[in-house]
Amino acid sequence: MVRTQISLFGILFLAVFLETIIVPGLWSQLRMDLLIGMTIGVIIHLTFSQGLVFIMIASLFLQAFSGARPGFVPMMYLFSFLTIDILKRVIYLENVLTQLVLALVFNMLLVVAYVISMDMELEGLEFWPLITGSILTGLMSPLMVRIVGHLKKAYES
Amino acid sequence: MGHGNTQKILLVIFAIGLVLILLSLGQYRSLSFGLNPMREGFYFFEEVITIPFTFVHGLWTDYVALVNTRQENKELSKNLAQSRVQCMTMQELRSENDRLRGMLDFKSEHAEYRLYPARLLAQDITNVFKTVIIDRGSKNNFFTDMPVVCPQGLVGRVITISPHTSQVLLITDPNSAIPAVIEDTRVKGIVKGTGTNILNLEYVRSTEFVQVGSVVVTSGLEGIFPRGLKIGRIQQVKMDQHKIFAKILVSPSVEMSKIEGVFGVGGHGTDAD
Repeated sequence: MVRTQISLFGILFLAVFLETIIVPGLWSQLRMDLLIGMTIGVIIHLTFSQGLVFIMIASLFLQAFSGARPGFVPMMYLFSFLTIDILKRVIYLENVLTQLVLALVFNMLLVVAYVISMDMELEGLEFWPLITGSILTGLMSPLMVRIVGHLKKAYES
Repeated sequence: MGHGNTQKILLVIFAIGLVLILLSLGQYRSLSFGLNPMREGFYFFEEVITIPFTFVHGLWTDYVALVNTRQENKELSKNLAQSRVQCMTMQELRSENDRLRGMLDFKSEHAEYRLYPARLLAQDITNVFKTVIIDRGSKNNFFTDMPVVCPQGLVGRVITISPHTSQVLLITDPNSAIPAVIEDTRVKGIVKGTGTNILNLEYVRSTEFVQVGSVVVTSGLEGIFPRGLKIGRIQQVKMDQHKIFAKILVSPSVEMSKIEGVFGVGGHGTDAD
């Protein structure tokens, strides 16, 4: 279990590197969320408690890279984790298309939550980077799910 | 006189006659009608004769003599690619040189403050909040609420700090509020971030005279930011007599998406490294 968590954090570290340095370097307004994909991955492949521990620590780690009010980012990921965990009883999470759509929708929900929490004016907000970021998040999520699955399998065998 | 001689004489007479007739025509142009077909005929004859020679010559120049051209072309392409890379590197070095020169000029212009240079490390994980991480922290004399500037103007302030990194809240972040003054009219207000590339200058009365294009600088009232740091220019003014305060939009002087090197402003004193 510990080895799985350590490996997951190694991947998270790379994901944050990609999210905060590489992607903004290509397009300063663009952001991509890889933790949503990992959230779906841990819900599918790990137990609830393992997944929850990972998501809480990972989101705290992400908080360090955000100007959001302390605790806001972990709250949003906790909400996402619990909602997707409930949804897995209703929808088939293992489906790649489901993962893609789910990550895209949750990424948009997170952005909307941030905007509402800041009482921001939508005037002047650039929508193309938001939409592109959500689509990229969606596209990357099946990959992140597979990575979590591979890790789990590697340590189980 | 034999039969052969008579024939010769007749031929000479015919030739002379022909010459005389030709000479009598006078105009060279009138020969065209007769000579052109001859030239055309000669042309086709020449073409047919030279085809094999042209073929052999072409074979030699286009194939045999170009055996090494392919290799030469490869080498030239490789050299060209290398030169292009070198050119790009030179351009990058040039822009870096310009940036560093700008920073040096800025340091010498603001000799009254201690300026600590820093480099951009990472950006915010969300595109709603506008913060950046820089590569200097408490070990490098950076501290919480330290103003951060770049040669173009005010960038923001440090909000959290670790030994080797600092998180800077940009002036465009919705959480940012800076006491400011319009440089020419000395009208005071608060510049607030909107999360976009536009700032709001708030708490300016509708009765005040505000001009588009005026420069907005820090007023130094709050005690965090030194006076006179350039924030931006007024882009739009919406005056409504029924409202107490005017709606003023300010365009920041620093393009936040392009910042690379910044300075932490460490109070009065001599220059830092």
